[in-house]
Amino acid sequence: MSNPTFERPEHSIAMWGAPGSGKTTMLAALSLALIERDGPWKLVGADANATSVLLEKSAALDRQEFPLATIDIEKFRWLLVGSSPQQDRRFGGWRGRSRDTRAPKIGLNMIDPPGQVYAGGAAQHASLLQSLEESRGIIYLFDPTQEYIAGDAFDYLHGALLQLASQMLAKENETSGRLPHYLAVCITKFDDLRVLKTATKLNVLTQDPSDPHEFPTVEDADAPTLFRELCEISARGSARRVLNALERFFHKDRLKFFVTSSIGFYLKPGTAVFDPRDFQNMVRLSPEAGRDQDSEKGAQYRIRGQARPINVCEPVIWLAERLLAERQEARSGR
Amino acid sequence: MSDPTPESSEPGAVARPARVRLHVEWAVEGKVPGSSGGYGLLACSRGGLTRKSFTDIRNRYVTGTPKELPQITIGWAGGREHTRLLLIIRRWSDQTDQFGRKIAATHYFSVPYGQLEEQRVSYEGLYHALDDADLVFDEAAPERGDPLKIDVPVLDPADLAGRVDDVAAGVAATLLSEAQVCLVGGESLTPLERLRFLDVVAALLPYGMRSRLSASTWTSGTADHDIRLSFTSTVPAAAHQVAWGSEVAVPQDGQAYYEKLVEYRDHLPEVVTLLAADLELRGFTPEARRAALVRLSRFGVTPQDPADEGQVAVFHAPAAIEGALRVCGDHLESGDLTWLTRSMGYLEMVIADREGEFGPEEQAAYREIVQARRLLAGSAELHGDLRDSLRGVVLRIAYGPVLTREGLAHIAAQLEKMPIDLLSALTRLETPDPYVRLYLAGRLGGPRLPELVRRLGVDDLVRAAAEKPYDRYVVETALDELDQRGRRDQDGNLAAALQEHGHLTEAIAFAYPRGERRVRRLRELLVAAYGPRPDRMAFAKIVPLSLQPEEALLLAAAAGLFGPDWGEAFLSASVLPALRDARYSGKDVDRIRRDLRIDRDVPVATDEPAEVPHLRDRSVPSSPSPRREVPLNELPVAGTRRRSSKNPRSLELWFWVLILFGVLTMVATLLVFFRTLSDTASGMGPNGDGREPVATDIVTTGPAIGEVRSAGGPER
Ligand SMILES: Nc1nc2c(ncn2[C@@H]2O[C@H](COP(=O)(O)OP(=O)(O)O)[C@@H](O)[C@H]2O)c(=O)[nH]1
Ligand SMILES: [Mg+2]
Repeated sequence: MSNPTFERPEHSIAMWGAPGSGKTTMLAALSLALIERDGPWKLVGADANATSVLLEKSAALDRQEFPLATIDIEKFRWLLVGSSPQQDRRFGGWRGRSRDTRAPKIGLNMIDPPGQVYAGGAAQHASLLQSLEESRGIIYLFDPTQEYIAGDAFDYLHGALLQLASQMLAKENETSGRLPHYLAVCITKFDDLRVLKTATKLNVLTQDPSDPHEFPTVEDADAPTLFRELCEISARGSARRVLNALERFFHKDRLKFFVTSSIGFYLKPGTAVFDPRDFQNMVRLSPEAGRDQDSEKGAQYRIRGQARPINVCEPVIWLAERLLAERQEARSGR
Repeated sequence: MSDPTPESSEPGAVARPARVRLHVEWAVEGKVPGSSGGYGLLACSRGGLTRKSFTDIRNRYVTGTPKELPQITIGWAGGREHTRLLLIIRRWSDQTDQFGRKIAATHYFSVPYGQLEEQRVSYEGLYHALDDADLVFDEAAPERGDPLKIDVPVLDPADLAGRVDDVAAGVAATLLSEAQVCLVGGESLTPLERLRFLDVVAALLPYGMRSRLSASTWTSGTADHDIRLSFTSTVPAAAHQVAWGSEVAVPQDGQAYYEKLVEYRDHLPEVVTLLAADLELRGFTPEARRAALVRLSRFGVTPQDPADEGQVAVFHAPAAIEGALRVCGDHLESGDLTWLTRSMGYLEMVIADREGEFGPEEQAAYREIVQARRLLAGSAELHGDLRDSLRGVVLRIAYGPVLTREGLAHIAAQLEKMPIDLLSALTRLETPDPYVRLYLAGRLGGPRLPELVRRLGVDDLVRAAAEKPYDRYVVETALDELDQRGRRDQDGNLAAALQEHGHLTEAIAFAYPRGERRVRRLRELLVAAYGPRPDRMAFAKIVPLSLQPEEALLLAAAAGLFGPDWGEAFLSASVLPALRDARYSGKDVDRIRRDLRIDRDVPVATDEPAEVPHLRDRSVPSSPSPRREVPLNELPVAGTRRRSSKNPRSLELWFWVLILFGVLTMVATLLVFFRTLSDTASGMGPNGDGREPVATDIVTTGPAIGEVRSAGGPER
């Protein structure tokens, strides 16, 4: 009982989203974000290997590079480490029950597949479905900029969702008719001009008074509104189906919306506050300017200044806390 | 299929290595430039490498999202006559996707193994021939491209042998274990240098193993990959790590192979030639690994000249095997583990060659050596792997492939205690003899037990339990199983088998030293065989008395005289004293008496109101406590009747009782076996008669019979 390694529950969280929706970048931004964020949680690798991968990922982002396109399903064994409950009572919910004063640790197996596997028929589809069945947390990434151009988000949701549902809901003991997962729906690339504009138009932009940089934000409560609006401007109009599908297949009280950006807004060196006329943090390298002589075709993108992730840890922490609470309920219910 | 084109066919050409022409199928994986989609199959050639088979291949050769390219992966596909060798080359294209991310292009090449029958090629040779091949296909029909025809130089053993170093030998030998091998610290090597290393490793194994070998110049530690051998910077938790340039810790399973490679290091070109000639499709199963060792060991031993084939026979002669066993003993004693494993490697090979068959005289000699050199007894101090291997070899050579009772007894006699892992090792031999199987199963217990006894029939179980020398574990395990089978099947088979073997009374008396336990155990067995309420005829089958007519007459008269209580009188006046005579202690008899719910074992009048159910009541096993089954209002009646039947204590009655007593001594003789067997019989080996205290504890604290039954299972 007292063996801490046995006490540490492990949860799998799968990243779900079309290719290019920002899954890998979000994972890379996570540890950076946790360091900057004022809160009890830290992210560390569960072993030496995982730590070196974690370092590698955040270092690349610090070098203002986006990650390479994912080719095979990658799994990262990370650990969310909190501070001990005596020092911090804000996250007391589930800890209040026991008088345990050790720092909570939540093992996270983050699963980062290449987006195409969600379209079905791809090579690692079977192994992905198994991972999804084992995971109880999903981070679903919806990239409004891509949706605006191609409108293909639904294509990367529908197939895999149906297969997952048919695998899990067909089971005898399944009675609720919904998938058991917690789902953090993340609108990504909030830093993008088009997304920010939509939010402005909808009047959902606010500002955290405690934020010295005065960055605009969207409160979680308004995120569904923004999501709905972004669905409206989808290229093929299929995004509304995304929302419908999510609400039909998952429990409503296990869905939560977040407006996120892995790279955040640009701050001109020497200035301290958000400049509404110059905030784009993603830059396109013209082929001539590319360091890579070979890259004659196609643009390449870089991060313009420092990456300042927005709302990147919140979905993960929300999931981790929900999963932990669920497990403890299950245990005390027994 | 293959058509080698030796240099002589090109007159005037400078000396060029011989080449072999191969027909190669291919597939390309990538992304449409500028698209937002993911990676997928873009094109492939006509033939076997279809979209469907590509998916399978793609699944197997997951290596992870690349950091540095090019990356070269070798592998295989298909099986038997469809076996193919794969070469997979991944490079950056000069294109990007919609998000500006570089696109990797991966070329898959598939070479039918059958084309290599005449001449072998190296992976490096394939790589050079394929890397800059033009893949031609029509945009309109991208999945119907032209297969390639390439000329590849034939494998050059001398070149490969010249590059063998200790790391390569160690890695090759490590592949002959279960380990997944990850090479770290090779960052400074170019992909081609890494491929050349993989080529050398593969050259140190029989060529046929390539039909199941996967290796790569790079894998990601965060992808769930099954690549057997790869360079990497992050090693998965379960993998065997090898640091580039430093000594390889070859696992036990690969030791013997490694020793051989070291031994032959001055003849590597010949060794590589020999291995390259071994085309037989081999995987990495334990048998295949053993066969690889045999193959390598034949080098220098197998006469190339059929004239002196006798050498092989000498090599495997009993004298040689005896010598090796003795040498094992010496090394075991001196603690020289390196040499120990060498000798074991030889013995492994002999076992493989002889297919585990050794003659009885031969084995008798081996057993002597095993005992004298303490090969089984002394192995306890070795570490797990090595101990298991040594035991495995010794058991197969001296006691296999079928473990007999004699063999088992011989092993037991060498050891003070039979350790669990040795027992498990013994179960890996064939054990058709039920006694042997029960002997092992009873001692192993736990989850292994059901699997070992499942196949045994009721007959086998009874026979094994009745077999001498008795063994507590055999008897108990058989009884437990018989209890279950009898209750489950209720087909009379158990009853028939028991009748043939005296209801196992001797065996039970041996296995249960305490008197009242014996009676209970026997009764449980009877319930299993005859059911809780056997019909009256069953009694005669259980206790087959053959009464003389006069005896029967007398018994009938006496029974009439005693009325309904005659049975109880019989038990208390005849059976219990007989037990007493059979050296059952007073305490024991007392317990049995209480168990049978008889107040005294001699008919003595009592003033207390007795509480005596009828015999019939006792045979109701399903009641937790038969006493409670007797309705309360019956008690005074029983008591009254009892008192009244005992009150006239006349001399006459005593007379009759004594007569009856005499007649029934014969019955009592049936129970005399208890005396002869109680505590003197000797079992097989120290564990045969020395019961472990744990089990005894359980016996003393075990629940009562009624409780056991109501709990729905036999005791223990
Ligand atoms: N504007 C903006 N672009 C992003 C952000 N995150 C990712 N991107 C872009 O989206 C591309 C794809 O991201 P990636 O994480 O590789 O997507 P994945 O295929 O879902 O893993 C990146 O190369 C960037 O160009 C973000 O937070 N803001
Ligand atoms: Mg990705």
